[in-house]
Amino acid sequence: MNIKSISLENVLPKVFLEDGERTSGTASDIWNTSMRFEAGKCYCINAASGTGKTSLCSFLMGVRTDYTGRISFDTTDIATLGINDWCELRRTSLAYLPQELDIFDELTALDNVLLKNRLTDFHTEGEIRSMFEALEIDNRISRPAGKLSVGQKQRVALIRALCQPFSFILLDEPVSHLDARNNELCANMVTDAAAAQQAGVIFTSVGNPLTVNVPFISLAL
Amino acid sequence: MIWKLLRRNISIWQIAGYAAATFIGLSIVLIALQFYRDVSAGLHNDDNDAGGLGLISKRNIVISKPVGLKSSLSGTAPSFSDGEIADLARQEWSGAVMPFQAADFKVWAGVDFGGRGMSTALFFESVPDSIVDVDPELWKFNPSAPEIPIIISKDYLTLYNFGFASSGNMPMLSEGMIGSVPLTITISGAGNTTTLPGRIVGFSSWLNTVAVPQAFMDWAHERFGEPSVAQPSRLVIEVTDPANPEIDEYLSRHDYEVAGPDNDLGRLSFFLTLLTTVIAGIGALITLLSLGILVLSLYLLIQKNHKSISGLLLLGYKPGAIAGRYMRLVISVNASVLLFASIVVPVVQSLWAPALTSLSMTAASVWPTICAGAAIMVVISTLNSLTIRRLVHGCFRA
Repeated sequence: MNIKSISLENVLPKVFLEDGERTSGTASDIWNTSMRFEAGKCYCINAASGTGKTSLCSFLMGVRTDYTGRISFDTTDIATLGINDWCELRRTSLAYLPQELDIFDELTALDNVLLKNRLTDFHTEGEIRSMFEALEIDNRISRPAGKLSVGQKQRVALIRALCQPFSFILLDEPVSHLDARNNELCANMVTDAAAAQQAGVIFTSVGNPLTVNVPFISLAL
Repeated sequence: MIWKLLRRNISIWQIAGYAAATFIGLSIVLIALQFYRDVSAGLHNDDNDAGGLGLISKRNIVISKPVGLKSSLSGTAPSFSDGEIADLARQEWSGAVMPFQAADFKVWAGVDFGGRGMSTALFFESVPDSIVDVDPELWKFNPSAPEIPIIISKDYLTLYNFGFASSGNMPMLSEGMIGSVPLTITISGAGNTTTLPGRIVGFSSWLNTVAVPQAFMDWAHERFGEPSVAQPSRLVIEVTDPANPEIDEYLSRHDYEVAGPDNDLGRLSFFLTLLTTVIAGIGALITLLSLGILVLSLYLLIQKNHKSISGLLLLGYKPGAIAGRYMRLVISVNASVLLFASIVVPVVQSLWAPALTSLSMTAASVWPTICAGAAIMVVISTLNSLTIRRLVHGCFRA
């Protein structure tokens, strides 16, 4: 399924309503307003902690539904999607690198990636190995993921997120534990993959943004 | 690879505990069921008349009314009215209700033991041919070559052998011998007298009469009988469901007397049913408790593996694919439990089979019992699968 745009209309996490915050929505480009992410463009969401960036990713990935307003993929209200629709979208349209990474510690770095690739059959094992090389973690490829550092896990999770076709890729603080050099390697890999599929890139940052070498739209939460 | 993630936190002891408890529960249920089927097959089996020659199928009972002072004085046996017969026929455990027909002519029977003659006054009754379980070739009467086949109560032979014969210096007789002794039957009535040969073709342990074929009775009535419409004093009831406890209750409510051992059958059957129901109930309870244990274990397992499962779902794995792994595990455990229980049932059956054989009862097949076990396990597996499905779906949303 190809998603051209993601629209948000007056979306606000319910938890904000309960806390009585953000009801005016004046300071946000996303909450409680009308906005749209478009495929082929790159968005950087700058946010302080606790402003709801992970909530936004969870809403867009169908993990949480505790928001008011309406989110649509093209014209489809995502509140109408069923579990199987979401599973399909997660394999074919929406790539996601969660902040917690969701790396399985008991599997090797490679198996973590193959676990995803088996579902999509998007890359060959050779291509995956060269992605490990490109991010300079090929020497960790057979190691149990539990023994990797957070920065190494972030890169494994990024490779895994790229093992599927997508219309949008959501990256929740993808390089928070990476130095400038590795940040750039990751950024290039993401933008290349997105460009190849005319896909949209949405990444969040609390101060260490992905250093993409393409024009991007900066949004405040 | 996915199983490597999902199998984490599976407790082999919880699974083993569930398997053991279910195995015990299911085995008890199935053994109780098999025992019930074996024994009730014996109770309902027509071929198992406990005594005599099996002359009258066990499905028939003979009832009469108790003889009281009034009937003693009036000289007439207490009889059944048409209404009472119709009511009997209406009972759900009864089939045909057939009256005994008493002969209304005089009968003398003589026997000749090598020159020592003996004769006695006798009576005849006829019962419907259909319930007399002797060779039809023997149980017939042909007026052109008349010989009267007779069934007598086994008690009469016992009385003769151990009463008359031993005290009166007479020869004791076996059933086989009696069958070969020719009798001379003299019947008289309506001004006519005739003498016919007769032969005892069988003994009944509980048909307490001297029975002759209906064809003979009709023939004799025509010639020697008085036209009368006496009500029958004894009835044969074809019992379609001998184990029905209502039979006993009905007969005692109406103060009817029953010949033969059959009136115990209902009570026996009732206790058998009660006993096996209690045992099967205990087995079912154990099975249900083990099912409860499994649901709790599954709940705990999926709770512990929540992070892995939600991680897999976020990658795009379908809940069905994840639940399917757990279902496969539970269903294979259930299948093994069924397999072992199916082995145990015939093994345990072989423990009581010799006892059944010694009562000349045959054991019922174990296959219907195993099919019942399979049906129980299908139900349990379905419940398990629904629980797993629900729990895994619960991991989808944060």
